Amino acid sequence: MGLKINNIVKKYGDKTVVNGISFAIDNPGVYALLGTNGAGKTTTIRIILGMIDYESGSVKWNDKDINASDINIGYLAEERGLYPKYSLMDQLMYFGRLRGMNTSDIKKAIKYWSERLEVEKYVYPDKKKKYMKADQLSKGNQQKIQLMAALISNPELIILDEPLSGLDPVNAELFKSIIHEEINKEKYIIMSSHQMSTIEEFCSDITIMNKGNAVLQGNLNEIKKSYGRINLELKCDNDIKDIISRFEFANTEYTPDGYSIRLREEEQAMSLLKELMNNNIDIVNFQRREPSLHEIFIEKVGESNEK
Amino acid sequence: MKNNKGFLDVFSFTFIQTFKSKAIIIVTAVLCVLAFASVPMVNHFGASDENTRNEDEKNNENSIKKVFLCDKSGIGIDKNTDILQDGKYKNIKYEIVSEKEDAKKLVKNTNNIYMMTSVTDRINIEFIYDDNKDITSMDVDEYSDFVCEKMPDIEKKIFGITKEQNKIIEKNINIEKKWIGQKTHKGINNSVMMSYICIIIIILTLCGETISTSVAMEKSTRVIEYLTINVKPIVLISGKVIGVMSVIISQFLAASVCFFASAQMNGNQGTKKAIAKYVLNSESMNISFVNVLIVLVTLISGVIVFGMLAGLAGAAVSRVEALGESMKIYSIILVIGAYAAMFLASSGEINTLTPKTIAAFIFPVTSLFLTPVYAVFGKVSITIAIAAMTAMVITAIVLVIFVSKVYEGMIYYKGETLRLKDIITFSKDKIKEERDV
Repeated sequence: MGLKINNIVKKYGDKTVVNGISFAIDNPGVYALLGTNGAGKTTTIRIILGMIDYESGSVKWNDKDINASDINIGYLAEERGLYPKYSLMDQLMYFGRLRGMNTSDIKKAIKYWSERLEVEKYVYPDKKKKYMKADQLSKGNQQKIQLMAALISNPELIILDEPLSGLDPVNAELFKSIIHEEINKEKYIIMSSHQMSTIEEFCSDITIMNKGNAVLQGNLNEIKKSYGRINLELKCDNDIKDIISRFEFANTEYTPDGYSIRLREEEQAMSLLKELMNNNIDIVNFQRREPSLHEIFIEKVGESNEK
Repeated sequence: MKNNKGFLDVFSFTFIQTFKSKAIIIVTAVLCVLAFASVPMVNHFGASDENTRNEDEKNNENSIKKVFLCDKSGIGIDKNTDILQDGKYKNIKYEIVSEKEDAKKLVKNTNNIYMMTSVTDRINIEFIYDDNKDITSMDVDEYSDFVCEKMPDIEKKIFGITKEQNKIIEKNINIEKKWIGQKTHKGINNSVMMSYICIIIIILTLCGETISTSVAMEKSTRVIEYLTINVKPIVLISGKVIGVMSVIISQFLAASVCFFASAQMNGNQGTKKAIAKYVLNSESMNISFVNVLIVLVTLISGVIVFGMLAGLAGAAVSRVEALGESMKIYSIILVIGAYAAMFLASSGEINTLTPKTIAAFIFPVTSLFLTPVYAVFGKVSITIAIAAMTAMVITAIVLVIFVSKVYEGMIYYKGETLRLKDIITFSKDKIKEERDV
């Protein structure tokens, strides 16, 4: 069961924009595609959606070559798209029909989602029986309508390209709660985002892309574990500059909140702690932690760019 | 879900939303008002024209000066030509000739016609005239109608039979018309021709602008990404072209209804006669199933050809504002087709069959402006009409295939406006991809 992408290659002229990307989503949940701008995420998504052809490789859904006509897919594009001058109701009805839904199901879905996303007053006519058009909405509300369009057919595979970009904190929370609901409904979700905290909140598996290549793939927890707890947050009441200088850490940064240290090996932490205690330093915070996704991303993309 | 069935959804959405747009509502209203007002305007200006030339005189205009009558009927029509000197034909001269006379020689380079009557199981009347001169097929049509009208009076005078009996005989009159000279067909009234070309220009301009704007808007707003996961690009563009085309044609139908309603309510006798003569004259038209089919197929595929070109122009830009540049090729093709047709029609050149005029009738860019109207009036041979239809259908199919190859790539393209060579490159890449696969 699930989605299997195997060694897909896409070229535009002589430029390879996706170079042998492979990954699999075997169980319901959220899979993250990460990468800088131009890394090939959107092209990969378009290939999965069958929007563009590719040179080689395969995309399989439930062990069969993917055919968008056989799967109920919901797609929230990175660049939001609505007809600016058409009424929202007309557009949602149109999108629903294109997904093969009948009028009554579309109306039910519109009612449910407009209430859930708190946009009834925009979707339904006002007192003067006038329908609102997309260009009369704020960017955030347009994004809500776009999410409605993506989820209107209760899709089994959902692709969200930068779902939270441009949203205020309140609406971002609303979107997150909807994504959690979809996860609970055992949907297969592919999410692309630059917001690493969002990815960490939802995703169990990731692929980091750079220049069309996969530079890191796998289960997020295992990736973090493989790095070890080599990050150390240290805050003391005394000046410890001399003590710190005695160690050869991978990286040391001083912030108003203390030191942020990248260890070369985990044992350096114990050595530093002993040294601080021997010098009677008053320790406020001494915390070892795994690297964040943000740090892993920066490191991997940086390494890839150096090659 | 990506399928071919989305065509109806795309078509109906395009049709309804295009009709809802303020621009279309305003244009439709203006067209209807103009169509409704045109009849009173023609009446008004027509009336002032009558100060110098009264309508009766105009109606009495007759290009036929003399009729060479060869009466082989044996019932004595040649002895009763006075009955055929009535109304606008009162000054017409009749010369009785024997069947040994060469009819073509008699009428060649003259405004005279040759009329031969004979009787088989019915009364046969054959007309021969030179269409290189001033006599038109319309003149002969009118004169033959006049002869048919008068035939019962001639029969009554000869046989003394009742009018009821005459009505039965009247049905059995068989008319045959022939013309001599180099022409194989006779031209269409210039105002009818120019009106048709103008209507086609307006339809193609409105269609082209609406389609290209719609495609460019879907592309610039990125709605296209949502649409193409549900329907194939070719279904999308086809639904859009046919949807917009239907709206524009509906506009013209609405305007036509206004025009005829106005003619019925406001038209004076002259206007009604002109409409009956040039627009609703089914006798002067070649209304057969095959002909109507040929005309409809040519018209529809012609508009599809131009619609697809407009769709390509829309897909070649990333912003609606850049449409002006990409629509240049469309406009140039439209102008070339329309002006070539206008020149050939107004100069009368199209009435002579030469390789150039045959090419104009068949070549899709010009044929849309010429062939349908010439076919409707039966002024072009069925062979040429079929050839024009075939050429147009093939062009439409080739263009649809071409568009299907490049449209998909172009609609995701963001950047500078694509030029013709870029579009061809897209097409070549796509063909190469398919070959490699």
